[in-house]
Amino acid sequence: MTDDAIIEEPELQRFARLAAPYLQRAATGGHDPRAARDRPGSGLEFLDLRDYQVGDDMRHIDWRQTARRQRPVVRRFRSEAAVDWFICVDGSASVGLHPAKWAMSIRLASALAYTCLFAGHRVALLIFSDRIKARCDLGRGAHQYPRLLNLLLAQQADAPPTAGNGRTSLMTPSHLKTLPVNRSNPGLCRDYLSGNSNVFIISDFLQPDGMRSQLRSIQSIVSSTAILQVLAEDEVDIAATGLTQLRDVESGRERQVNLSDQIKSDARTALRTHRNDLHKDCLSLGIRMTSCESGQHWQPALLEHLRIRL
Amino acid sequence: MSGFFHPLWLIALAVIPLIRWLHRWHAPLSSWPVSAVFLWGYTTSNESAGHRKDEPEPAWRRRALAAALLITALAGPYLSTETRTLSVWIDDSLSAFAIENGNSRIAMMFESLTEELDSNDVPWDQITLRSLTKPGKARPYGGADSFHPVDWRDAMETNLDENAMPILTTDSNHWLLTDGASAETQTWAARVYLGRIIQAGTATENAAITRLAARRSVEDAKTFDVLISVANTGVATDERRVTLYSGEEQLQTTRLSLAPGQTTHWQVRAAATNGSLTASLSSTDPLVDDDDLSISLARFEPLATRIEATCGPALWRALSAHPSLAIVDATRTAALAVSCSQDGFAEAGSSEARIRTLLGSARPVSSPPAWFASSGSGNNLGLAVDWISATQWPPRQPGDRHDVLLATTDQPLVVVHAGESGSSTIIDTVIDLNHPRFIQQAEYAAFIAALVDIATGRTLLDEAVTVSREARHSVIAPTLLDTRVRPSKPVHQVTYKPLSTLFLAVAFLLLLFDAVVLLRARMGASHA
Repeated sequence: MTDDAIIEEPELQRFARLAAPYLQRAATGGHDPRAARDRPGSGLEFLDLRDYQVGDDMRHIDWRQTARRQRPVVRRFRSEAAVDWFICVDGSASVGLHPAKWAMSIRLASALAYTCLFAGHRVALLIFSDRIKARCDLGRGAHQYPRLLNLLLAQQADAPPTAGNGRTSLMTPSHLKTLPVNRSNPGLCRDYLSGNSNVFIISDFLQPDGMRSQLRSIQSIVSSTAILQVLAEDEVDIAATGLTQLRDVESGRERQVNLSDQIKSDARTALRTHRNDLHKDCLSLGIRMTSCESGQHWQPALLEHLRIRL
Repeated sequence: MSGFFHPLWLIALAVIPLIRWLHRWHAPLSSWPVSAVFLWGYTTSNESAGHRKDEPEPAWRRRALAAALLITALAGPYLSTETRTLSVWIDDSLSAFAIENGNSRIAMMFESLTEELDSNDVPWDQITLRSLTKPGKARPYGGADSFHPVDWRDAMETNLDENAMPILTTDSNHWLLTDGASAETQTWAARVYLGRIIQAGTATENAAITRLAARRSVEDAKTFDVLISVANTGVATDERRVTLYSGEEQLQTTRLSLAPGQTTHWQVRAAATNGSLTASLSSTDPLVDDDDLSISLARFEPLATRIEATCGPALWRALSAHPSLAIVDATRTAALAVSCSQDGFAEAGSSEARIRTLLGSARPVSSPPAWFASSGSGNNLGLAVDWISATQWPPRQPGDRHDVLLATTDQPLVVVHAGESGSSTIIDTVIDLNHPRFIQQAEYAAFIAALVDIATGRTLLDEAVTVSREARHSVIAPTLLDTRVRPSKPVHQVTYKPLSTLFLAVAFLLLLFDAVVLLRARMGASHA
């Protein structure tokens, strides 16, 4: 499965040259006019003052200004480091249910990592489901990409329990009752993020709330957040007809539906509505979001994402 | 209209809620893991609760419908159609053919019926004309032009029988066309419910020849003693001329005064030369069909008899002397055959009556012969023991059945093989019919004549031929019946068309469809 997810390096290089200019804008959310180096971060050169916020380093409190303004004020320093990218990849069962989705996620993550490294940024990788399944710390340079790639290829998305080889297999109700509850939770990545980092989350976001609360939590502590929704082409296509028991591979919730053309059409509509609603909410949160399908080519999908302006 | 033959079966429809309830436990045919179950409709959903579902499997409707159809089929649904039918009973007895004013009574009845139907506003769906003398005879009513009295004339020979009057069905309205002359019809009409009685005919006077009988004269075998009975069934004294014909030849005539309700007899001796005798009444009454009677004289012709030469002269002479027998040679067809054989009775191959005797050493009988009850005219014939000798009976054939006519205490002497269907009577005797003392007795000829009578089933020595009709059937004087229109009952002939088969077929197709759906779902799930 993972072999077809590997992108040849020359192709990655060509893409990196094309996409690198868009990375800076992506890192600042696309609306910060300052250069990357003018962004606040860890460094020695003073940048500006601002009110203290929870989580700020106590050592950076400017006591003189605090006394003058009668409220805690911290000093910010011009960032001397390169931009840090945290690529968070959803490896939950809902992705594993459709192998093409996982392959597409690997391609997007590896291409993005390569592009970031090509631009001299530091890149970290987190693979999450209901836990952090794998992690690669921040790093830069030529040695970082193989590490990231090996980590991606070594991981598998959580596989849904199957009675055969199919991604949608016939299962008896007894099988279904033993399905594990395996909710995808990107909020777990929050513990590994730092304030000046940029987060790129690749997931299907197929949860009733679209993982909005976790995204909001991450967005509150990072410099920028971007999400790329990967959906399978046959996300809601089921070959069965008649009365069928459906079970969510992550939540374990069951639903009995009488599968008809109308019901299937309604499910496709619900998927579109879910994606559009998520897109609107991301816009309001200042989160860059695009969607792609597993059958698409990764390159235009990723380029479109990087080009987008908020 | 529709209904059910066995509506109690419909109580079983109460199982339909049970079918729905049972389908709540139905496990789905297939189960599929999905990445986001919340995308699927909520209308039939129920969160995980084992196999139990609040909403039944949708197929319950199809199966409940099939069960309902089966139960309905058991209840015997039907479609019924009502037909207003009218049965018109036609009194087609003899009196209905009396002619009045140039028209027969039966035609007058039918004209009245046509007028009545034309003026009646009841929309009859079917009108059937039925014979009262032959209830099985029916004709559809086709209007005034369709009725011909001659069509009903064949029933004239059948008299009304009080015990064979028709029983009226309750699914039809019944009318009666009658002249009111028949007592049987009057009794019947008073007993049954008739919606309408149409009566025609007013004439009362009629005379009829009720009997014509003939027998050979004792004095002269070529003449006949004839008895003619004439009945006056009218209400007034009448005088009629009665004429006796032989063929077309008038033999004798006389004038009789007939008292009302009385029968007058006329005895006459006539020498008939043609083959029939006819007594005819001068026709001045409305009913001419009862004014003559005829008999055939063929019955008095000598019976062709064949006798074998081995039988001996005594027997031949006795048969030849019989006035009603004519001896014919062996080549001609005979109605009676007499055979005598040595070893056993000759085979009875022909359909003629047969008398068979045995020849051979005969021994005197030990006791006087006695006649049995079935021996007919032989009962009065006494046979002395010393006249009779008999041979030994040959071995009996298996299945041989006979009745003994004459026997001693030791053995039967004369037996009869009763004529079964298609075969003639056969008389077997072991009496020596050439016994020297027996053939000299006068009883010998009488004995032979008795055997001939038994074999032929007739009384050949003094046969009488009679034809007659009952005088009461010639009564044409009508009794006034109640011809008022009775309130017609709402009688309909209901035709039922059962629909159970249709319901069963639909239920079967529904179950078949359900099975196909089930099979396809299972196959689709297994292929996936």
